[in-house]
Amino acid sequence: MKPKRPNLKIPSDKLKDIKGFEEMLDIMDDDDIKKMTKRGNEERRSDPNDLSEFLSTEEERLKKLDQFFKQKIQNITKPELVASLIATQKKELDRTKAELLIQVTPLDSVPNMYLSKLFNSAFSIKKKE
Amino acid sequence: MRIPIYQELILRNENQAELVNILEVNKVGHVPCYFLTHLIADSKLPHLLSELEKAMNQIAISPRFPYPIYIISEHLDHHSFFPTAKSVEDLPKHFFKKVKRPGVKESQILMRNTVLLNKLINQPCEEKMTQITMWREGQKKLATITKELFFYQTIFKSRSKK
Repeated sequence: MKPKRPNLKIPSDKLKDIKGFEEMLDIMDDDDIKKMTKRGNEERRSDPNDLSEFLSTEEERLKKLDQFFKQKIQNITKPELVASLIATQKKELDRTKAELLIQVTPLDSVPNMYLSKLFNSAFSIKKKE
Repeated sequence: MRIPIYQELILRNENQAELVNILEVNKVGHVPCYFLTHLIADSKLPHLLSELEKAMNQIAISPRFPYPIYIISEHLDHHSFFPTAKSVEDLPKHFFKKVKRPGVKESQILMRNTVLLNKLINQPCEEKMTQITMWREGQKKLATITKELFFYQTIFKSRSKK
């Protein structure tokens, strides 16, 4: 048994043009018809002016916004968590800096000697003659 | 609920009370809209925008959520409160649609959207956006400290290898 062909809707303005050539439509096989109907569906789906599609997109957008403001923001913006992390990192930074300074600047190093000279010249008390 | 397509409003020299009235009558915030400012002198525009900002804060409307409220002005590059655009053509195309009478299916979706919209309008969106800004500042500070720490740790490690 042959599969039933879908009814092709021909627009009324095109109907006049094909008058007398109706038999030509029989030339088309099932694959051609499938292709045509498939293309028609795709065109309908991607119609940018489709109102229901637009409203569905809007519904999705509003749902996501609602979720974002209700749940996600509360989860990500925990100020106490960031503050504690900053405090820990600052402590670690100070410790590393101090250790590094001890390593880099021993008491008899050249920069230390210059620094002490500079310091002494700036803050030494001048003796009255 | 109206179909969420752009609504055009023209700003004149209104005071805060008149602006509140305009916002409420036109249901600004329930649909995307833009204000045309071509009737206002450039020198008066900042004052009028601050009046509009106060009016919107008075009736708790966010200029970004759930629907954007744009200010169209050729002489305004940026505003701290409102999103701006040079012309109507520069606005995002998403909300430009042909007006059609909604069918049964569309009406049902519109009803659902109304519920979601009211939920969003009742939320303090601007307050939450301020929270995000504060949180972002904290994250930036943390990133700076971590970067500095990584720099010193790299030096420390390279010295201890020697």
